[in-house]
Amino acid sequence: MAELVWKLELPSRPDSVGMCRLAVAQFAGLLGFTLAEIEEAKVAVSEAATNAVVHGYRGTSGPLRLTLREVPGGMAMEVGDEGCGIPDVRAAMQPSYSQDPERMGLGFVFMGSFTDTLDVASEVGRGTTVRMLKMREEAQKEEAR
Amino acid sequence: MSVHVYIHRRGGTSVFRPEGELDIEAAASLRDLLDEEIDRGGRDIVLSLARVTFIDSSGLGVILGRYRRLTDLGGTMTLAAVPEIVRPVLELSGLLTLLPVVQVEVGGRG
Repeated sequence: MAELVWKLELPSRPDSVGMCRLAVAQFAGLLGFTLAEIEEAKVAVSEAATNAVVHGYRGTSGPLRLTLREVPGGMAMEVGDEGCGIPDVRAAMQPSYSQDPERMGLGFVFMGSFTDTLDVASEVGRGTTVRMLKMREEAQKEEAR
Repeated sequence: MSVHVYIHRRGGTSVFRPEGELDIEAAASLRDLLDEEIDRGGRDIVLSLARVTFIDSSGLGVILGRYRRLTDLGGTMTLAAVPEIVRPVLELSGLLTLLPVVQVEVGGRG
């Protein structure tokens, strides 16, 4: 049986972020993630989707794309936008109180802490795609035996 | 859509109990409610998370911002009734070591 893939396209509005969390929670539950792991996945996706709405589309609008993909032992979560892009990804990923006091600059920190791999691809004027991999701890334990 | 917030005032203390998910959508309305309270002279605020089911950096940012505003004015903000489900996020942000935290939302002193 082919591995499960969900694709969701939503308008880049704050109320779309909640729907992204709902989708990843449901998807992760189907894949057998624990409740604690599901909470982590929800935070990671919420941060990426919020970035797209707040920074990517700053004042404008466009599609917010969530792709969830089953992989052996876990899932791949991808959040993409066609917004303004990030000129310096490395700098953007540093915690930065001063630039973003209302979010503590912790968006990427949470994404990194709550997933196993985090990859950000961005092009100024074209958009940004955040790719995260989250593996089930149970699956990792099984492999270790 | 704004978040539903239960507000209870006793003496000089206000207990704010938002319900649901504190994300970018809810953050704005919670921020406005807390700012209004502070504008009206509120200086002892207890923020109960008893009914909060989710929080991310947007929600955390509102809490931190209002905490700073209050403490700059000589007031206090206390976190109360932190549910287990949101504890990892709060711990990672450092907010639990920054703000006074109580188990139960009684008065402002716990």
